[in-house]
Amino acid sequence: MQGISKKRWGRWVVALSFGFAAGAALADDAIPESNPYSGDEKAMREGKSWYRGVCAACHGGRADGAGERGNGADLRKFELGFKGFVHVVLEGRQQPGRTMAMPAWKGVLKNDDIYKIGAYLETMAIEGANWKEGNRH
Amino acid sequence: MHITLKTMVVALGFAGMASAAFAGPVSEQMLAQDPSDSWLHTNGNWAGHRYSVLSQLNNRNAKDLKVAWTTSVGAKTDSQATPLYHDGLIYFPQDNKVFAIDADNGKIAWKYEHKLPDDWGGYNVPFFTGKHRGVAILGENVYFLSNDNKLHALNYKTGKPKFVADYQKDGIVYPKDFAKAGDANGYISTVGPMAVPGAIILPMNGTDTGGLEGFVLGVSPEDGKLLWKANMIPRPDEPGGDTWPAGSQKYGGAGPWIAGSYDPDLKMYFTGTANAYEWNPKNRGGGEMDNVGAASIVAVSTDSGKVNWRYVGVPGDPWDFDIPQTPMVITIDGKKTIVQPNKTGYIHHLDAKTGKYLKADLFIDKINWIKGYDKNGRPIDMIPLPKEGGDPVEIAPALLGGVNMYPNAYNPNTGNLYLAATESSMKYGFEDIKLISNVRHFGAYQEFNFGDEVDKAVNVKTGKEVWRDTQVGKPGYAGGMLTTAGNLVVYTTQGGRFTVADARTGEKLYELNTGIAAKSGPITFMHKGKQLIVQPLGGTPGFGRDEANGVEFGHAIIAFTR
Repeated sequence: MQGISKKRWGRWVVALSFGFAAGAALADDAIPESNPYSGDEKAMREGKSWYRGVCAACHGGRADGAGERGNGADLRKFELGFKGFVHVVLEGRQQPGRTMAMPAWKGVLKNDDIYKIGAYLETMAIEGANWKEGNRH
Repeated sequence: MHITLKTMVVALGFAGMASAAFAGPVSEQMLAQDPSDSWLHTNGNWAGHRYSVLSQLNNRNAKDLKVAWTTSVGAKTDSQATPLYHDGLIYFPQDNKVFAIDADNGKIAWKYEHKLPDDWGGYNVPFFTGKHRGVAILGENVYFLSNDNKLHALNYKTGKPKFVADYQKDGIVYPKDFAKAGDANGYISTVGPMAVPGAIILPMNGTDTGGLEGFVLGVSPEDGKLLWKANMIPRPDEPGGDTWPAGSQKYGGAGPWIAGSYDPDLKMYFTGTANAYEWNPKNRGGGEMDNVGAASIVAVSTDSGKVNWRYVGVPGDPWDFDIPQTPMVITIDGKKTIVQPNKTGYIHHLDAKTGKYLKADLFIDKINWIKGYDKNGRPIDMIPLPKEGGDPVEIAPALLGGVNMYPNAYNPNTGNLYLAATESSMKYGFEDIKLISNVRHFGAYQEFNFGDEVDKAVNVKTGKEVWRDTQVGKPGYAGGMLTTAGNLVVYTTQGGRFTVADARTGEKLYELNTGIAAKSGPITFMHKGKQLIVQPLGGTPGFGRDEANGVEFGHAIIAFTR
């Protein structure tokens, strides 16, 4: 198991600002306050399949960021809450000065599938993660 | 002993005459030699040895090495290129730019910059963008292959382009942003070109950006025009063509993505190829069909583009054990032999002329995916495949290898291969194959168990390990290996420790903690009477996990001399 570095916490703060900046332009009210699929077994199975097929290459099968494509965030400690998660997936996330980035999935993945991925990732959460509320900072 | 002395004499001869012989435009005769004053191929020579005949720096004086200069090109992603050196300048590609660096002091002499198309993007593309593994040089041109598969011929003294060639009309399209394209599949070039007599060789890989089938292109050095196009996956009427279900070839992967090798007598280009696509094999025979051409070594005639032979190292490759590593050409017991250490954990030996399997030597400690290779070069007792949507299986090595993209070396004096190896395993499972913008996703996932980086020497004839340097608790690979007639082996660990060791014993002669991950191989050359070693550094250690090595993202190029 690998711990998350301070740098990565920082990256999520950066990601958050991107996410919320983007949120202004997004139909924000279309995203529910909480994940409608939390705890839904069927949705989580579908979310797992999407996660493993699309996300695991960078974020790793364990969601710890140790994917073959490298540099994925450790999603077990995701702390931006459900709406923050949806924003980051839709809008992507840049790392200043770096080429590798989280691509934007808006117009590619359906919101419903993103929610299902989130429902699956909630099951991978470890201490310190937040999949419920918005940003706690 | 005889060979050593002879080599030393040749080396001294080169050292004396080189400044005259190795100035000015690069001739095919220069390209045909083992590297001495210049370093003219990504892998040093056509045979892929990364062996220099220089011996001014050697195992007696390497302890006196010092840093000559450092520089940076401000890399924004991993630096994977092995530079070239010729006539005072070091050529280094990074982030779709080419830099010429003055070997006197590390100053940038010229810079060429290419802009990627506005609709650039797609599956895995941010991972690949900006990475390059080399350039080629011939005549007055430095040849650079940008990520969008354009060949740029740049004047070696000024960086001014003579031509920029595009191969989209030849079917080599680039990958496009999912949100902007109905079909986002495409080829992405990270490997560098190779100059051979009469052609520039361009490996074309679309494997992990949707699976478009791999090709090797031969193009004119004069204007970049296509001369021939060799398909890695056999057509239905070629040998091995029946190992693919009808229609599965188009997105069958098998792209070449690491510099190959060339033999001037056989006039063949040898390349390893990527896995068959998708990773989940259900659309290409379910692992029961061989998928020849993928996870294979392929020989291509450089006169015609005809494929001479294909050997499949991982039949039906369900594990992403592509075998793209450089197939070295080594004469063993009088026979020209392809020697390829690869992801499988084995060093494969083939007859260079025919592709006939000779043997496979195991070089890693932990392995369970097969019990070995039989006399025909087929895996023995491969582990059963996981079920789609079911539990993953534990498999060693992981798809990391063995060895991976980080280049290995061969020293004819010691008879040793020098391997940038790692120990690893993974849990590996299959899922449904997702389709987005006509791009087929892997349909597979993995959970890695990283082991130690192990840098090692293995005798090429016996397959026996000679020495090892284990980076305990530190996953990854050395950036790449270099060896010399001065009885040296040079490498930098993933954690950034530049190391010069005795090639015979592995005894460390000089070390410097650079503080930056290494993902590329060092080179050596003569500049103004002095032998220099240049090591590019840059990127994040491991597969994005920097904790174990305690090194952050960074970039530098460091030159050493005494």
